[in-house]
Amino acid sequence: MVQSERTTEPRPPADGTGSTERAWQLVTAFSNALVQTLLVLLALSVSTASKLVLVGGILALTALTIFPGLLLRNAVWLRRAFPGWTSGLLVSLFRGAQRNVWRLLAAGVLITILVVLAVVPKDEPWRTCQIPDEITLLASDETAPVIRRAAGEFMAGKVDWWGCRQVNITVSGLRAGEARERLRDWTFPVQPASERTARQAPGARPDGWIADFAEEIDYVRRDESPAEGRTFGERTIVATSPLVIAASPALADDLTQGDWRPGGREWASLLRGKSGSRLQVLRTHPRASNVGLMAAAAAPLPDEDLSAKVRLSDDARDMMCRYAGSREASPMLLTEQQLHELNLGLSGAGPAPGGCADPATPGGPPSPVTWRASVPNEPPLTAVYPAGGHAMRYACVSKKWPDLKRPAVIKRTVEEFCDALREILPRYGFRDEGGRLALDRLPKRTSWLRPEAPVADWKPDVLALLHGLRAPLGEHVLVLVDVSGSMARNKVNDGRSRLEAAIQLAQLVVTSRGGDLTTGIETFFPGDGHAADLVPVLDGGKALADELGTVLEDYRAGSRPDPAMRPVLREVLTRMQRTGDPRDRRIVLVLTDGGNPGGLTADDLRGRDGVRLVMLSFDLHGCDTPPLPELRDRELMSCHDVSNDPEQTLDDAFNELRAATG
Amino acid sequence: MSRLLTVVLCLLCLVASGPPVPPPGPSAGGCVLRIATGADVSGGVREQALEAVWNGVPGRPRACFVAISSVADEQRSAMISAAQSRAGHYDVFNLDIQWIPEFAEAGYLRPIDAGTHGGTNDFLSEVWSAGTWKGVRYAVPFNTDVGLLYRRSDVRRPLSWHDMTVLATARRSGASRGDLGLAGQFASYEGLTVNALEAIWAGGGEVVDAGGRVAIADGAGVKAVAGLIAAVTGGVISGATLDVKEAESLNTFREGRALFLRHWPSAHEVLSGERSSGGIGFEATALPWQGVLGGQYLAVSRHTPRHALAQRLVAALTGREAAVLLYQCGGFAPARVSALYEEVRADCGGPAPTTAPPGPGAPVAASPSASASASASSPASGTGSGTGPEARGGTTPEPEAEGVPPDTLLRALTRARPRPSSPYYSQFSRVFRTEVHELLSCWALGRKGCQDAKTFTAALAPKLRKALAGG
Repeated sequence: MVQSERTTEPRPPADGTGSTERAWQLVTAFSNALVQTLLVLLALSVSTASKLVLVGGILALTALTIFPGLLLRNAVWLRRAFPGWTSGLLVSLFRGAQRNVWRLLAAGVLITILVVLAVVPKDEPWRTCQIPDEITLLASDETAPVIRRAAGEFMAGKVDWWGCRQVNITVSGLRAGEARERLRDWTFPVQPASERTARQAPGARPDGWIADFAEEIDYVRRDESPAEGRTFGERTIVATSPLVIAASPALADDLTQGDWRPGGREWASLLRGKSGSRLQVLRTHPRASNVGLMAAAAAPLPDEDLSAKVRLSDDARDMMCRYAGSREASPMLLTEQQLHELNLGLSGAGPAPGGCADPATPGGPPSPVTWRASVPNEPPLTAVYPAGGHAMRYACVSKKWPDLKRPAVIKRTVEEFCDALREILPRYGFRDEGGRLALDRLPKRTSWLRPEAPVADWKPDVLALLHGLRAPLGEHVLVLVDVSGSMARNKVNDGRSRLEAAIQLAQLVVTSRGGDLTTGIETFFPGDGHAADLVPVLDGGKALADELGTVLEDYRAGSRPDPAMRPVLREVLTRMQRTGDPRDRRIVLVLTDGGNPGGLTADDLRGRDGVRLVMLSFDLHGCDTPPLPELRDRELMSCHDVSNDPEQTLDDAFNELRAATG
Repeated sequence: MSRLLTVVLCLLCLVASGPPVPPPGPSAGGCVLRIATGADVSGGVREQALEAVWNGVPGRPRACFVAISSVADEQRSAMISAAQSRAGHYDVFNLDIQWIPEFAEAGYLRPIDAGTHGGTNDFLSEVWSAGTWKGVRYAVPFNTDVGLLYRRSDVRRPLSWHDMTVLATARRSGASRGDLGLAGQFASYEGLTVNALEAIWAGGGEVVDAGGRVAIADGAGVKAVAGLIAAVTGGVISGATLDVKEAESLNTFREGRALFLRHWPSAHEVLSGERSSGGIGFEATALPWQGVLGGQYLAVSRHTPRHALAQRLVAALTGREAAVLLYQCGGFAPARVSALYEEVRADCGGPAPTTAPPGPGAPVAASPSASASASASSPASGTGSGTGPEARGGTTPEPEAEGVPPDTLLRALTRARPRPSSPYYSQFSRVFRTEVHELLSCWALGRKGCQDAKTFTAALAPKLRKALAGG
């Protein structure tokens, strides 16, 4: 049998320690209550200033209650510091406070309770974490990977008292030129006024933009509507990074002819390479790459000096991912930061640079790249700093959209992030605004960086350069769109129908890369009313883009057999032959999935006074449909498979045309 | 006196709340109801469904899809930004399945009015229940999605993940040494979360169990991650695919460079459309392991001033008629099982006007509904007859894409399960995929000091717990 045990209450000792203990318990309980109250106040979703007032008030009133003479004891000091009437006023105020201290404390507690009651129902501090404020930022593809890492650090630091994240940042990456053009007009040409036209999703509108150079912002701001007021905030220069030529030590020696001093040699001599050698510095085209654009501003070179190894659509990251690490790699024009990131990846001291996890990009040129460093911890590439100290100057700016009212906290947080970037980016190999390299914040063994290399206060005249990028395909361009059923029914890799992809590509052509003098569109069914004859484009291609949208709406479904391509092609080639001056570059761009080219002969294409026929196929095997291979081999036309990445392949075709037509 | 006080208080409240924000009026094209959505991958069938079930009905205010982005993270970001602006910018959100808890928890959605919906008993239970959060229905399935395993015709059907790796390894060591084993989506984005979850499930592990507990560091989880690492080191998942998303993985397969492809049903249309022009021979089956349930759900914005209309719009777009159209004409996996087996072929829209078109230079303003009413056949049926305008010269028959057979889709859907359900899913996914990508890259590149499965999962588990708690 188990007997119940009698619990014995501890008796208070007779020596008086019991009252001390009780007093201590009281103090502890009071302290706990005070701390808990303060924690609740700190966790409230009110501004920091309000929190300080509440917490400070409670602490001050508590101190006054416990030490009522506190203020008066300091009155002597006050009498010395202030003239007679002021100190008298303050002393009488202190006396009043001392007399009414309990009333004041009660009022303070009451106010605190009221504030807590007002705030807590809509934002309980003890509930699960709230969904953070959402922010979208925009950066070029060349910069976005590193901004994403910086955003990760920033978000991790933006947690509240309870460990809840306060902000979520999504960083969108776009091709350099595309980012600028989107910011000039977020809806055109992808979302023209008519709701019936093809709508390519434009992307999330950003709350802020990290431009690769401050002049980009000036370029975009020129189009700000006076009616909408200023939509960009104040720009902050967050980092700089000089342009360098990244090369293996042996090639660097060859380029500099032994003079390795930063800024020791001029651009022209470095880009030419050692006389007699076949060394060519790989660099990206200004259209797709801001690094290429800045390089063009620093050291203009004719386009033909661009290496065939670099595609027109490549940016600096594409180039470095494809060729860095190859023992036969040519020197490359990068930023100092990109070289740093690359070397960390190659040496195994850091992750592969963003976008470089895939050494052999499917569909890209064969690459011998491997991220395995042959000799760990050896810098595989050396930075050659050309004279002039030309550098990228990264600028961060907030952006508001008149039709999308965002909470004020968003703009504040974007500005905070811009400020934070100045602290974070130097850890990734960027220089600060003044061009100083913070070696103490970088990993050890970064000997490839040369802090003594100067960064000039360079303000390139890039506006003219940017406007010059809207280069046309030729003087006269006719876009011929295959609208047969297979185009409507079948899809390209990203899920769009072939027809949608073709129409959107055609919209891109007519709005930004059409004919310098005239541009026209036509479908494979010439009598269907969609022929927009060759006309000067005076509205930026908007009318043609709208017309193409109508084509899509009318043909997006249904089953139409492939028409014979020969008569259509013969007719448009003849028309183009009669257009403009024979010295003009005249191009017929055919968007098709192969169709029915049977019967097309070399004679149909020959003797067309230089009119070039370029076919873009949305079927993987479209260019293999007889007799296209034969005609292509005889260089009477060109044909490109665009089923994987239409926009990029258009650039490749453009590249080829440029080379062919001079 | 008390009445006067009440009036004064009300006036004070009005003053404090600022001027009332006028509800957004009709936008370009006369759209009254705006549906925020991602890029259209249905070839216009989504719009066609909207015309058929809503805009084509007289007296209804016009509704439009507003395509935000083709990138899922950007869609989510833009939709949340719009919801946080509380301006009623959108009336309806077309949400990816994994975002529903986040939007619901944040109060961006109105509960679905069950009274506006007809029969809902033909939704798959997993698909239907994913639209609820804390017992309240906030979203209704618009279409669903599930991974399929595509394989080259010359490869036999694998029975499990292990079997697939054995087949791939055997082929790689044989004649087709250069072939990739499995082409999947292994770049560091949401696709990797999906692929890695499936691989871990295939290995018998769990990342987050049914009770919401992070279970990746459990014995089975460790073993499954070890299996994933082995697939990478064994070359079944190549290092060359670790920056590959949907489009690139599909391209790898259609060019014949991979034995297997894990992809969505939409890939079937791309691949089948190229069969007649020399495309690769392939077979598609349900994944031999559990797949991740995808799909999109329509939900009514909390801040729309037209919530009653929006409720009716959601009901119309998630009805059977729209589901049949989306499946038969757009190739979407339908959320309603009945739509899979609909015998009556949907009208997939017609070609350009069959009457004589106007002369050159005169734009045609055919209405979408007019175009939708013209006759044509369904791509799912794989047949069709030309009714469009004849061009000069002769014509050749058209190759046509085929959708996934209904039995295959149903098998895949019934064994699929959703991703971990959490309001903080986006952070969870970000942490998970970043860590997994780093691990796989390290092993793929043959670096020294790569974490083994046990160390990796032990380090990952607390990070995932923190992410799922909102930190």
